[in-house]
Amino acid sequence: MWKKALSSLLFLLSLALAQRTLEVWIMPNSAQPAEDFKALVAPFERANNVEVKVTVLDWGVAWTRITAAATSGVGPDITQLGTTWVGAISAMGVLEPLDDVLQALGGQRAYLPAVWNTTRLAGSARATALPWFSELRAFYYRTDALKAAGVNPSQMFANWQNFEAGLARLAASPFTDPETKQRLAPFCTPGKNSWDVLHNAAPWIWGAGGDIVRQVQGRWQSALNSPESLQGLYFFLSLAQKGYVPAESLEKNTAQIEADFQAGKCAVFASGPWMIQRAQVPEARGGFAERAAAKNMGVAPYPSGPKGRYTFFGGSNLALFSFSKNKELAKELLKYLGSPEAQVAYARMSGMLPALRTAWNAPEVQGNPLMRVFVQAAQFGRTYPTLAGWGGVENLAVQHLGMAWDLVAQKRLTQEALKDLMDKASTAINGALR
Amino acid sequence: MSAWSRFWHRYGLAYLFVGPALLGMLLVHYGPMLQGIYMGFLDLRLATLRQYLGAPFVGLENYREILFDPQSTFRTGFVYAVRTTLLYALVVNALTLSLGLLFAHVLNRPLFLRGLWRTLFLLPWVVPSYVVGLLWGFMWLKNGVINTLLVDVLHALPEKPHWLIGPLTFVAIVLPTVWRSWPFVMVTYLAALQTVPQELYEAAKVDGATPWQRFRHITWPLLRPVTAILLLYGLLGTLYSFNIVYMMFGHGAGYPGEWGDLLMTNLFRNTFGMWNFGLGAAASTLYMLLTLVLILFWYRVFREDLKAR
Repeated sequence: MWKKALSSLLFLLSLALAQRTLEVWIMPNSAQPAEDFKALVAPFERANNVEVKVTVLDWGVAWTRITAAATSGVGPDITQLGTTWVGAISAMGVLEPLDDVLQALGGQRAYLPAVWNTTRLAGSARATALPWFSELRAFYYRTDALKAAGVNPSQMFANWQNFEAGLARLAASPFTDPETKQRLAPFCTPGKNSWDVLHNAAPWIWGAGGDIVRQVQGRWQSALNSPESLQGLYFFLSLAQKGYVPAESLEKNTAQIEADFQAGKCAVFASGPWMIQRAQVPEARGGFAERAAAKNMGVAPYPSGPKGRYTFFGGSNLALFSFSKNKELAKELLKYLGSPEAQVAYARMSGMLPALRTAWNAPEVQGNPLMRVFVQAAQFGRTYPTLAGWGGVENLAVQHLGMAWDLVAQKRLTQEALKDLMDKASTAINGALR
Repeated sequence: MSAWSRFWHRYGLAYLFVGPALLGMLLVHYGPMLQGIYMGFLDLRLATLRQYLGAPFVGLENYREILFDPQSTFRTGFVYAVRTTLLYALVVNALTLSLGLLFAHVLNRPLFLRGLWRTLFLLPWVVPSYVVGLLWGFMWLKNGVINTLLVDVLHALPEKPHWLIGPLTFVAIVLPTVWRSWPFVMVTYLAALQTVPQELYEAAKVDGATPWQRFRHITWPLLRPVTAILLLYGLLGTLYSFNIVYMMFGHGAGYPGEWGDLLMTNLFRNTFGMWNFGLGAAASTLYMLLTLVLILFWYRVFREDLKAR
């Protein structure tokens, strides 16, 4: 009896000693980030006798913590990176090449070009990040409000002219939300007080044939003041100045605009795929399933501009620090997290779109008609270039776009004023890219 | 007994008590400060971040760029930030000192439920400044509680203005700062007022002095040392103000505009948003020197008041 107990104890002890540990930093991607991630990696832990320790970093501190880890060489084995951060962290030379991991998952063909671009520093032959999940924007609309205004969604979201015409009809419509008994604002969008000021403007800039930065004779330069960029920006901003966007929206941030849509105040607004999941979750658990907005919700891709249809494509990747002491095991974990099964499972938890193209065939994605629209919209997805200095570019662009939103709120936006602001933005951005 | 022994015998215990605090100051205050000053001489950017203090030494180049290069990205919005910060420091300190003094006088008199009023007036002071920024950010919204009160209830304005956009932003950042700061000024003045000997007032009354003359010739001269300290405290607080503006405008994601951006929010954005750590350290050193000049000026003005009587 005693011998048996002792041998069992020794066996457990040896297992514990043999168990290895991997440390992973993630951001709050789901309602219960640590618990959800632990549930996701549980099969990997069992199969490999490894403990995956997860630390959840708030987005507000994540950049500082990750750069501190990169600088000091003390940090996790694997870290989540926003796709726009890949260039900067890769340029620091602290990330392990992941070409073999990506090849094992199907290589370039397994991902959309927009996603594949985020696997490395722009122009680099070496991949340093594994696409984990994608975040892209599409329009959410109230089916009941559009129907009452006599607006056909497929026509309204076909092109810019139809989009504006649809907004005009929504503005004239007497339709009221069945719960609030209030009329709906045609279009809700945050102004300058949002973290995604540039993401909101980018599809309009691209749609007109413009760009945020572009390569001229091998050098990156600002393109915000090009005639095409100005045309796209002016179209987007003037929608607000024409009164289709309520004045109070311009002071709000993204979360407040989402809350407005959920509360039945908006007919149309742009957001990511997570709203679909929230529409299925009751209010007690952070969703809005009981609301009229959830029961009458449609999704459409961004309307096509004069030079094409585009949407902002972001999301997060996973990267392996070169100071990791368990590189091979960490690569196995990355392969597991990049596999179709884990991609679908995490997409279900986070409400995001899987990064792996084959994962889009899963019933969870294809069985949901709203999610299918996001998959279609993904074809028009475009990312920012993964430049080492992208953070500075985005910062300056956001700052000057914020000034443009100030002009809109004061009804002082003119094409000349916008050009003047974007000229200043371009001078500053070109200085940052020197 | 040697001189060293005499010194130790006389001051040893005092140095023993002061020692830990001094060590703490050196470690957590002067150490990082010196490191910050040194970083201002380095080309410390994202590309050289891994080298940290081993980044290329560039001498005064960062200072040259900040002071003399009009094309420098680091100077984006700098002039507006300087103007707004100086105005902000002036208006906030004038209002907090005036309000604090006024209410200290009111609460220094016999008053029904005086203790309750003192406690209630002190409440804004215990609210952390970042919470103040967050709350007032919501209150200033176009359909927020302030516009509802001003337009829908009091009918004081014809339409709801944008407080967080355009020149009104200045009002939107000043009022929360004053709201949070004046209780501390009030309680300090209240404590000072209670040390003024009542006999002075009684003698002045006998001589026929008016209330204004009693304030002008008795209260104010005796409050000058406290005012000097409060002014210094207020100046440093407003010149280095960050939390309220940072939290009010999209939690730091957005640009507060030319009437809302202060030196510290400008410095933060141009340093951490642009990953210009060497330039940021140099600019911080310049701000510190500028503040030191202001403190020297303050000291010259109030030197006589600060002498022990």
